Amino acid sequence: MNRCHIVTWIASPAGVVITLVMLLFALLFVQNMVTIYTSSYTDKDIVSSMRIPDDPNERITRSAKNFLPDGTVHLVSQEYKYRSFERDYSNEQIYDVNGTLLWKGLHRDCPYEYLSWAEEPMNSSYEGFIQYLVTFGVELSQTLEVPVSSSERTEEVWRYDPSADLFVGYRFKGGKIGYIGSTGFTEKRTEAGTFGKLPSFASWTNEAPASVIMLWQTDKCIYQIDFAKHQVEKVFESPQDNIESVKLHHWRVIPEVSKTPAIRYRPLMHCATKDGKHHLIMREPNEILTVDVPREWDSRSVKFAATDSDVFVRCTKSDFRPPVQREQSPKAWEQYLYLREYNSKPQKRSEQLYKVDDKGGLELIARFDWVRPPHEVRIRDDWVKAQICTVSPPAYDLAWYLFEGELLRIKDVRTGVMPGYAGIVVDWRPRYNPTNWVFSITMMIVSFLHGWSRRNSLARLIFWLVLVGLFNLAGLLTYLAMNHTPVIKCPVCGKKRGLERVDCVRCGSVLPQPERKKTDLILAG
Amino acid sequence: MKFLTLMKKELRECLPWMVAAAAVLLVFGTLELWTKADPAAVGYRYRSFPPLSEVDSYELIGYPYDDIGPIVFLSAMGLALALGVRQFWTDQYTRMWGFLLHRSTGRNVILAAKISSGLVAMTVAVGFVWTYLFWYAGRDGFLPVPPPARHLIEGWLLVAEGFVVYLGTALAGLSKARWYTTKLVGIAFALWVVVTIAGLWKLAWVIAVIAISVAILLCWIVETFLKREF
Amino acid sequence: MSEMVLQTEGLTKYYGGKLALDHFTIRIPRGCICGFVGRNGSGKTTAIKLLLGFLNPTAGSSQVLGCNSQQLTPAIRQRIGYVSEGHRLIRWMTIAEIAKFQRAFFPGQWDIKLFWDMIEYFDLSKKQKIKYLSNGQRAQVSLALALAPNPELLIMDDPTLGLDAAIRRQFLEGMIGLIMWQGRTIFFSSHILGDVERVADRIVVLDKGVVRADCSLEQFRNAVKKVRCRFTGPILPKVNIDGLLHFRQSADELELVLVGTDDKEIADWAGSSGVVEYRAVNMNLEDQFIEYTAPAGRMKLFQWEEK
Repeated sequence: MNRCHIVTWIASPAGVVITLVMLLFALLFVQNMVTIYTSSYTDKDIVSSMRIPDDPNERITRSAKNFLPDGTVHLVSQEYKYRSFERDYSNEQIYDVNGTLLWKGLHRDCPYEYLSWAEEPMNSSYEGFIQYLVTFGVELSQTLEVPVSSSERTEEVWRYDPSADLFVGYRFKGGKIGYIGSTGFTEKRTEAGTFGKLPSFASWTNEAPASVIMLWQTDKCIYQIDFAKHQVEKVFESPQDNIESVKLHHWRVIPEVSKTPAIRYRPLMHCATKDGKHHLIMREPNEILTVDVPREWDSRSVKFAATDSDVFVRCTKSDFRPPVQREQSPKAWEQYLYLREYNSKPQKRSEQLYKVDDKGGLELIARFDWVRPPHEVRIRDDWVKAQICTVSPPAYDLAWYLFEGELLRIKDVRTGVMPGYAGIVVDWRPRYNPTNWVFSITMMIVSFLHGWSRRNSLARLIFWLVLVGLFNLAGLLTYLAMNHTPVIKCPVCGKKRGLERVDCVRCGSVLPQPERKKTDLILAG
Repeated sequence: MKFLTLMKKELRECLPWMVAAAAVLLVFGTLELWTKADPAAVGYRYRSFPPLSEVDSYELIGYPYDDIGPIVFLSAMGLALALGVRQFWTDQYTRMWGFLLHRSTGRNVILAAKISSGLVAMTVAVGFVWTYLFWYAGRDGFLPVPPPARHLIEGWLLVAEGFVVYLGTALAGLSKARWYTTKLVGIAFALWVVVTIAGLWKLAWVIAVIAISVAILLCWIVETFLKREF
Repeated sequence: MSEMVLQTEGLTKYYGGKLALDHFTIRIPRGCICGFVGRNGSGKTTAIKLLLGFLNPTAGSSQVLGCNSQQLTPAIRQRIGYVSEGHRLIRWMTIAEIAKFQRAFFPGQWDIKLFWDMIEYFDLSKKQKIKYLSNGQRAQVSLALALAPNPELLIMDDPTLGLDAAIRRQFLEGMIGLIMWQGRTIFFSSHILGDVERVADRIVVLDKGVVRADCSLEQFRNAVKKVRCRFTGPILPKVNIDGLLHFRQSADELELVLVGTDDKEIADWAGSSGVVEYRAVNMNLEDQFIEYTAPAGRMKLFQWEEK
């Protein structure tokens, strides 16, 4: 095959595509700038949501439903504070289920001690953290490094090696210590086991001299790594399905309350797996309990706590049936309309407290039912953006029509550039606006008028018309950038003709010879 | 012989820019490494955590040497732009194309000599210097924790990104487009590739994107150069 | 092998919508020294660039040494010497370095003795850098570089542009030496008609992209005439004579510029038009070129032109 033909077959379409993409970005930039300067949406509800509401129904809706160990339910309304250190000094009101005010004052002076529950570690990494670290960039990829310090200095550094899936230790003064993998510490790399795919990890320090302890969660296992002692403990391994979430309660040696607790808790790790089971790993004494909760419970609201005497679980129930996940129901707009309609109706809610027995059975000991009043979902004023999107490519709407679910899924991915590109299509599409079609047709007419006299082949002209139709203004600019060849007036028929062809596209005549003068001296043979 | 003659001529013209880029990278890179190897700086980075406290995952992010990546990147970009302008823009403004093109050799040889010399220039001035700096940083005892081997490849990929920008600049210099600044499409495309690559976490993807963009730009340059009027 | 070294057929070039060259058709045989002249912007450089394949024609074709200009092979380029307008050379090189560079493209063909003889003749030093040479010296180096490979065809685009008289004389002597010594074909454009007159045996005149004259120099010199006529009575409003290019009129004098009109026709016309006295005005090639390419109805720039 002729090398020049291969080059032309790559270069010509690449030139068109790249010019088009660059012009789309330029158009997007302009659209963005115009939107920023002309849009005027403000949210006036923030201030009002920070105070304790006066309306009892609203107050009940916004209050925390807390349980005492004996099952008594209190409704705790707290003034919202953005910064966590201010919360101790926020105003608080405590009501019983009949609406009687039991106490009010500053949060730090509250006389009641409610059951606290296992929560996800606040500063754990998110899924994809390791990917984020090794992301290619100008600053080169980063590493996960755990220092081990003595009272005087840093003694060791343990670095996670993503390709080997284990930790490599170095002495601060130089030299390698060994490896920490799923099988524990070893000086030989070949003996170190790998951990497995990592969704997340959490870290905290123990007593002075503080060294880092890490809870390393993979698909099916949870390891606890003590870097100072070079020890790895497999805390939990799921018998069947993958781990969905991990919550801790008094597991880490961190003072989680500021006063001497009246309730004595056992260290608890609540591990939910994707098959709907909840595994409780407890210490003092060591115990593992698997709890099957009813299917109708919203697993996101299920929380556990373990005291010296009992194991508790609480859940929130409602008659609200949320729409299915996005990937199953791709019609995001319809989902939004459903939410808006549903939120405009009252919802029945119920907070329930259960005790868990030795075999994982549940015994209801308290419940509180209430009705959440309807509230309005404000729709952002998108009129300005809708007008600006009339020059967006209809191709975006076509992509949305064909790949809506996929686009929304990609848009939700946290790393990489693909979410940005998906977001461009989703957020800046013309939304089947007829004005957009009128624009496109107008651009096609302009292109036709420009290209008719310049045409080299009809197929090429049709290609460009289709491109302009699909990409609107960006398509027209691309067409003009790549086809703005000069025209002259045909000396024979007087109409415009291009110079790409030897003959005139209108009359077929070639460029005529210049007029000869009688004084021309063309005498050479 | 003709190709080598042309390439020697091109390399000689690139030499001042190569020396400048290599000098900048060497000087600032070495300073950066010495700064990061200083015990006080290292000790500060590996600080101790307070007892009985949560440790944010972001506090465990390690930076063997913070700024050497940007130094390599800027050297590569600066050299790429300088070479692209020198080889493909200057000849236009000094009307040297006539002299060059009337060599007893094909246009493809002339183009190959220019691009090969650009590639050699970037490899030697930025790539080899980066390799030296990486070796220097990885010497026993220089840094408490030696840089990961992956960084050597990443540094070379930054040089490869520079080569993409060089090709984009070359294409812009050869382009005769005047409409809506589309003359600069080549550079815009190269910068778009640089932005797209940032955020990819698998090196194989980075290599693939660079390879594809180099292939596209090369084809585009070849087609433009062979058909262009001078 | 074709007898024609340079051959074009209807070569046409548009820049945008502007016509630069209109059906440029010439045939230059081997051994010819052709002067290619025209006013500024007439299309000379465009024609040369089309011949060498630097531009793509809008219509028509051209061949150099039997090869299509758009597909000149390295072997053909090796047989063509080219001196570009402005004598563009690699500025950072010395004369020795540029000679070495140029030599690499003419393996087995480079006459090193000829090159250094010419450099010595022009009183240049091999260690001088191109950027420190004057215009004239650069022109000399360009000529030496173009001639050293012994090209069959030498194409030069205004080679004496910007040179003083002494350097121009040296340059032309070098060219004459080459012509006499080796009998090559030379195709050169120039604004200095005196140079053309000294060396060329054929002339091509380009006017607004159109070839107006393509003949031997002698034919051109003989064909373009200026005749000054004196009248006693009123001058006829219309001048009716074959080959009239244009005329100028003053109180009792008429000046005619004629092309291809023989003396008998002039005499007949003078007799029938009431001319008392007429004489041919001596013109050199430059005068003839100016009159030949002067636009009809030319405006007078200065008042004293009328006198």
